[in-house]
Amino acid sequence: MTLRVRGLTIDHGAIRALSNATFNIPKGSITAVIGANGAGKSTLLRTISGLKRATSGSILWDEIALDQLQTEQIVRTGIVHVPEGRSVVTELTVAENLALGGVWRQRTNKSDVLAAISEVYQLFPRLAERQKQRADTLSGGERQMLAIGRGLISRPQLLLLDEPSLGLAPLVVEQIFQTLSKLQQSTGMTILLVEQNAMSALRIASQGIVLDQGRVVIADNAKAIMNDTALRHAYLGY
Amino acid sequence: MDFLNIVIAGVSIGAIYSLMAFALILVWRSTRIVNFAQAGQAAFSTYVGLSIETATGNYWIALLAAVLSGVIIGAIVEVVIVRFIVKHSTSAATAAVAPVIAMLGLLGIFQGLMGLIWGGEYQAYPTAFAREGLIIAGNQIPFSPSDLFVLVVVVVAMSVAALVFQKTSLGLAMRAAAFAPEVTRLSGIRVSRIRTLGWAFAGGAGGLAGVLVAPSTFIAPNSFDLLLVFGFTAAVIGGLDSLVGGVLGGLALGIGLAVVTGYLGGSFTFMTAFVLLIIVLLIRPQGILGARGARRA
Repeated sequence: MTLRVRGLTIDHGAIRALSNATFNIPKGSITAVIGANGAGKSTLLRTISGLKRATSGSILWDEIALDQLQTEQIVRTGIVHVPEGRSVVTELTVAENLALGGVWRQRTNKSDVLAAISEVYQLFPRLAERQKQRADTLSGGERQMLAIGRGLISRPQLLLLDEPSLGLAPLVVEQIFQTLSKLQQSTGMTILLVEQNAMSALRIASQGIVLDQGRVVIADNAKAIMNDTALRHAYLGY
Repeated sequence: MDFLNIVIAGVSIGAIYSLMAFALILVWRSTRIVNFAQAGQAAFSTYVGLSIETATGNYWIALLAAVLSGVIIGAIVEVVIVRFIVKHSTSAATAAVAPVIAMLGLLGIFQGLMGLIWGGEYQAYPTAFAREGLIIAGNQIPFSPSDLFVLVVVVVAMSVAALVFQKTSLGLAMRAAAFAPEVTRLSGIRVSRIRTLGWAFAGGAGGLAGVLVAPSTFIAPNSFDLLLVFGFTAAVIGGLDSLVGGVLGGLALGIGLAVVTGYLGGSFTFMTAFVLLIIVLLIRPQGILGARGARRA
């Protein structure tokens, strides 16, 4: 399925977070949305997953108009959002956090939920070792793995990832990004990756979208963006 | 009266405080609202129980009716009132104040309604078992078959609740929604339904507490106000977010107040509860078993 964003404008109170954005996220790719802090990246993801409403414009997931749906229903269409800040339920154990991602389809497809959980444990063996531990005892990297893992249990066709590298050591970031890249290749899912860490994100992405103060300034293939020195200087600061 | 007898006397009333604390904590966890109307909801359910008892003469059917009406009233309060207050409390200031005032107003409405339907005077509520103290080795102890019944009912209710919370998907969703509603929604769970259920279960627990306490307090529109205060104190002792903490807080409070009553006299009971409440809030606002950051609301 393809995600089509058309003329999307989102306001945060008096501040315009996103202004008339139009782009497509093709199926089975990794798209990196990059830009400085406050460029509107997180707001874009929050609007796709229904946590926030757009001021105008539309988001189409094939034929489904996402702006008509509640967050809980959007998950059922195959779009899973892992928000920024290693969003796990710290009061629950690792196993419970993963189980949470499967509760909504527990009754109809219990065996697949269990299969998804064991796949996540294979993907992130550290989580398997810490199954019974409360999530607040995990390291930052492990928490991020758990947040992504919780999302994977819902079997996303489109995974929205918000700043998975935030506050993590470079080595851990590298590990998580490599895992994501492998995962995308093996499952064929679509990943929309929002990142301030532009280089790491573009390296595993096929497409890049550069946001600056709520505007889409570039939507191009990732390599082209990486190789465009002027663009990098202007918007990415290196 | 020797000390052990006093402690025993406090256990069953403490168990009722635990039940009330449980109701308040469930609501707090699901919506971050202290439900002052719970006293009115519990009294209303108890009146329903009393009416059924009068009509059928069957204690057990009445008990069931009270709990069920508590569940229904809890759900209605959430769907009809709370949902809209939460939705419209957009600024931090209104979010802090509006629900409190609304719940106090709702308490008034419930009490007025009960006065209209059942009258304002105190009425007796029957017990299932005798209220005379058991005789052990020739001595009568301040613990009756009725107290034992209360204790058993509360233990069973709490065990069922613990099983649901720890072993079922519903319980998992309720715990997750309590601590991280956004992550829970993003996991595909209808958090608004979970909220309604939280209020419904709380209402049922309140109804049960009402039926269990009514034989000793009698029932009148405002006769459970003290129960609310004690339940709230127990909940705060346990740390508002912790169901286990609330249950232990209720038992501790019941026993503590029995000790105070036994040695200093009944006129100190009420005051002691408030002093305790304030001490806990001053020294350990997160409660004895409360999670770190329980006051982040």
